[in-house]
Amino acid sequence: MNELIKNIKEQVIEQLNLEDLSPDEISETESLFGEGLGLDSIDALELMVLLEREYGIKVENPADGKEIFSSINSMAEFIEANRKK
Amino acid sequence: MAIYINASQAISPQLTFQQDKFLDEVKEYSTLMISVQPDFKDFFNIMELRRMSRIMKINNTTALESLKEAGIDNPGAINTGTGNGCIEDTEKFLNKMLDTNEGFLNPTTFIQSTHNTLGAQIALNKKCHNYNITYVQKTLSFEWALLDSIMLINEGEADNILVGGIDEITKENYELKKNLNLWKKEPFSNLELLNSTTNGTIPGEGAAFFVISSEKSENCYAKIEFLNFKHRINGFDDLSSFFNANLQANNLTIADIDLVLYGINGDVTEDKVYYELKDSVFKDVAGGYFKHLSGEFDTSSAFALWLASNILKNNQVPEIVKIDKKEVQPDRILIYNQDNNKNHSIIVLSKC
Repeated sequence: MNELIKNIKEQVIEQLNLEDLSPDEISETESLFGEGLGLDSIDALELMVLLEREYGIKVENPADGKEIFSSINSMAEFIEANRKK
Repeated sequence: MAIYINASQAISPQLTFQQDKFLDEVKEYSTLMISVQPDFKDFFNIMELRRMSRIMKINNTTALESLKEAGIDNPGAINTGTGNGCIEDTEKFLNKMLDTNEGFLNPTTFIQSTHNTLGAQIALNKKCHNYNITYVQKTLSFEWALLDSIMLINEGEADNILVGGIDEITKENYELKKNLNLWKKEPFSNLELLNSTTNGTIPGEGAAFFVISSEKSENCYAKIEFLNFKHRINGFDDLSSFFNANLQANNLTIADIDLVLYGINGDVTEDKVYYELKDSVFKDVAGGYFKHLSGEFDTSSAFALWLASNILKNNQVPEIVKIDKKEVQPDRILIYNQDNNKNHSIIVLSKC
């Protein structure tokens, strides 16, 4: 799980162009949206693309994104349970 | 109605952005002329910057600093001209489409691959809900944006307008156009354009923004006397008539022009018309050029307008701009640009 969390952080940094952040600076429990990392709806779309490309997971219902992308931990749990690659 | 340029900012392959000196130092290039970029962190926070491509950073910085210079927060209109738009993001998006067999497409590059992102991003930043148009008309893109802006002021639709021309060059775009023989086949110094004996030119890029107004501010750079352009010209006589008719229509003669800035780009075929004009119609008028400073790109006339407005404001023609080294302190400048004998444009401006 730790390796997966590390990978997700690196992929999020690359996908969202957060080049000035290091993986250590992203908390596993902090909210990715709003007051946490401050991501927005376009970032949510970028994260959906990331899930499909890296893990073969297609988020069928965009409304589920709110829960899946609430933190790095929630992303990792969702990936662990649904990954196809 | 008189139209005044009250702010003028440019990011270009030269040191043109927020410099104390006016083209005191000139940068030499041999292939791509890439913009000299400021530290964008001085203008935007990290979260804003992460979604901006290179052209967006250049565009937004130049535009917002122009508004700041003019002391205008909410312009009556934002008009931009661009030939290629956000070409880097367009390339990324299209390449991704191919690489992934039309899957996994990134929304950000798609959103930003549209040309009108340029004007829209400025409006979003300033929360400006006014008139906003991006003109994409190849080498007349900036001229259309400027014409629209002048008409809006003349018709009383807006008092202060932000208008600019923006284009970027990428390696991929450079290679594609190289196949069309648009560029020099071998590395060629931008400072040797006047001595060129071959076809092709050197590509460039940049952004130049202006705040134009019906009211002259204390910061006024120049007054725009007129602008006109024509897609096709049938021979040299037609071109001479185009100049004479436009000057006459604005109660001017050739003798009223102190300096002509030609769009000479080092392509011997394309430049022929400039030299013919210089040796006949404008034989008694000092000549200058600008594409050795900016490189060739669709909105290079916006760079020429930045150059001309700064010449008038600074009362100084930089030596590097002069063709014939005539001493001149111009009160009125004519900018003439054309694209392979198409899209001929004239902009005349004078001291304010």
